[in-house]
Amino acid sequence: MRTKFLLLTFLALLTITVFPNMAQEPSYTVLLDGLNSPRGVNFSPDGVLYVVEAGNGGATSIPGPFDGPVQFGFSARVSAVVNNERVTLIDYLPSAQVESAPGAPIEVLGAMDVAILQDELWVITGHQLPGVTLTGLAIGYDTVQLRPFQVLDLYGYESENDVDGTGEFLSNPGSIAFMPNSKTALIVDSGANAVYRKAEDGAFTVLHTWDNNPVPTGVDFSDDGTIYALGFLSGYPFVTGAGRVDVYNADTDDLLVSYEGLTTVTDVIIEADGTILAVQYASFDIDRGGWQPNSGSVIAITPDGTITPVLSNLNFPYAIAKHPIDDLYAVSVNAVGELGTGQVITFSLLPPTEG
Amino acid sequence: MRTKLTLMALFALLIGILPSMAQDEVPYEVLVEGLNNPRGVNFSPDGVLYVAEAGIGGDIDFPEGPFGPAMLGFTGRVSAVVDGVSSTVIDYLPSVNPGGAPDAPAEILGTMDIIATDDQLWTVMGHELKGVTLAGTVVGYDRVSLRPFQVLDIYGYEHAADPDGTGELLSNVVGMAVAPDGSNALIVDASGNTLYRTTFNGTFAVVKSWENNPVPTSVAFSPDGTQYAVGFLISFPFPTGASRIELYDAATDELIFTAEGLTAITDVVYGTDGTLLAVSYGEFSGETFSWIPNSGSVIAVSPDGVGTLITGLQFPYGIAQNPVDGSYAVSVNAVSNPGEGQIITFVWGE
Repeated sequence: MRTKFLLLTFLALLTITVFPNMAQEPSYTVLLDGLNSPRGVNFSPDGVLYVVEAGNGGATSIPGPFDGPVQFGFSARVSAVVNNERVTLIDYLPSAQVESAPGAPIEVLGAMDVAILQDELWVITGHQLPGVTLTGLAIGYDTVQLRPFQVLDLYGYESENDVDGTGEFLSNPGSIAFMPNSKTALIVDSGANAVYRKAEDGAFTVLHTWDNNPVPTGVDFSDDGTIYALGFLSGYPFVTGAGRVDVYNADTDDLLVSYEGLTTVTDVIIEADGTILAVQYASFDIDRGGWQPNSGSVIAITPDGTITPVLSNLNFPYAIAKHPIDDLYAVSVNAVGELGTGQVITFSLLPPTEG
Repeated sequence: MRTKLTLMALFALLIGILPSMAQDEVPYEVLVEGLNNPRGVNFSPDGVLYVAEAGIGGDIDFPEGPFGPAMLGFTGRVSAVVDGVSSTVIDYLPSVNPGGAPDAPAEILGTMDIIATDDQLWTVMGHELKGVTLAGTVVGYDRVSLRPFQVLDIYGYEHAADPDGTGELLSNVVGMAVAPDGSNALIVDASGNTLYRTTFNGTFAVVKSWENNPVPTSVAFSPDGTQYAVGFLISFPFPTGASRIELYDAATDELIFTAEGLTAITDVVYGTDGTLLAVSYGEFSGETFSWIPNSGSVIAVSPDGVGTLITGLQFPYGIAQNPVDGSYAVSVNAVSNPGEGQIITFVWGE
């Protein structure tokens, strides 16, 4: 009963004020642990949770997309959660461990997101790596056999067209979201500062680009398909308050509102009432070694712009998803860090019901 | 009709005189060495030789290999050979070591064929491997950027449709040929015993399936595009003389003729003069139940007869003709220890 009371109070306060008291945040449960660099999480229409792990790199040293080599392997994968256990569905996707500064968390480039329709499953394979076929792509799989039927070469498009016009040919596709009841999707390329629209047949076109490197990350549609939201990380040095969430009209692709003053947003979801839940990855402090552990959060942004913390002090959270029926949220945490420490946590924002 | 009759007469004659033919061996040179289980070879229209290497497997335990526990890696690759110098153009393709007989090289499963057009490369990715995205697929790459733009899931189709109706759901896509006019391509699945056609629109359809597991390995179009040839390995225990090549009308997909009495055909190619050449992988010993070393050959079917061009080859696999200078390239040591694979080259015909 006490829990119920606290949660009800919490929800009442959500829309009117920032919640300074950590004790009043909802509790969360660790659903999965032992993951390697978990990134995207998503529920299928029937409520199965899927998680993407960027992996732990591998033993082969190859030239990386940035200066210096990467430790490369095929350790990224896509899993489903069945009876609270992780079951690998798609295995051996490319993964590259980037050389990180001493003491800094281990950063791995690899598969980044998954979206699930009734008969299609799409995987975003993240940062391009020279000569590695399955990087920089959106890959469509059928949900019955989990076999690929289509590849969309986002890296190739960026390298031929320099979509954001920066002269920097970088591609890092990171997120995909389907329009409700449609095979049309939006795909975000963080490195190219671009959002693509994928048509039902797989043809894709540039929808939005930005020339000041805001680094778009997560994307989500509202359940009624009328709006979509985009999260932005901001570019180096990831200044606190320099991230944002933009909301667009899904019919016209016009910008409706921009929620600014956020920090390193990596994913967004839109609630039925228009509230946006966003993941803030971490704060970055160059004087204290860069990314700060346990500085990530999930926040709620109501349509009037009020920002309320939902979960604070998370260690490098990355993505968020909501169960299609139940009031259950899943968030990937320790998305960057020691190998095998990745988790998916779940929480609820509604009070438990009686009986 | 006239062509058909002529060909039938030709083949009837050829098969009859085959045993008595004796001709000088065609000399060859080693063009490339140091390869890891080279399989398919192909020239681009501008004369660059592309080689598909199945690789050397890897160090990942893979309990559910097609024939039991295996070792998985991503050591398959496609190389381009220019002026005798080989460089990797597509790397890190799936490769599985299913083990092998004692003292015999492992029969690595991996990338099996490569097709080069003016602006595209197509990899043919061989045996299905559960959970491995690229295994059992045909992938189209941009020839310049070397980036993938299309995937055809042959493995998935076999498992969904069992086109040869054997009830054995096994796929091993191994060969491909693009029609000279570029309008379509044919793809063979050796384990699926099926020939597919794609018109490059991202889908494919069954042209023909064979019963009795003849194991089609290869397909090639005639230079004018009016015919295509399909080569067959035959299945275990690979009896000498039990394999064949079938010729089809490319417009109707009707069988024109079958050349029988051949052995373990792994590739076919039409020379620019219309001559059909084929690779015979080797002879299989029914006594030792193993492939006999140095028993592979290159054979030719021409208006002058059917004969043997080169004998004594160690497990040759793929053959292609350079459209620029007319020379041929053949992969040898196609099943061998790491680094022992070679490409040999020879000149023959007009």
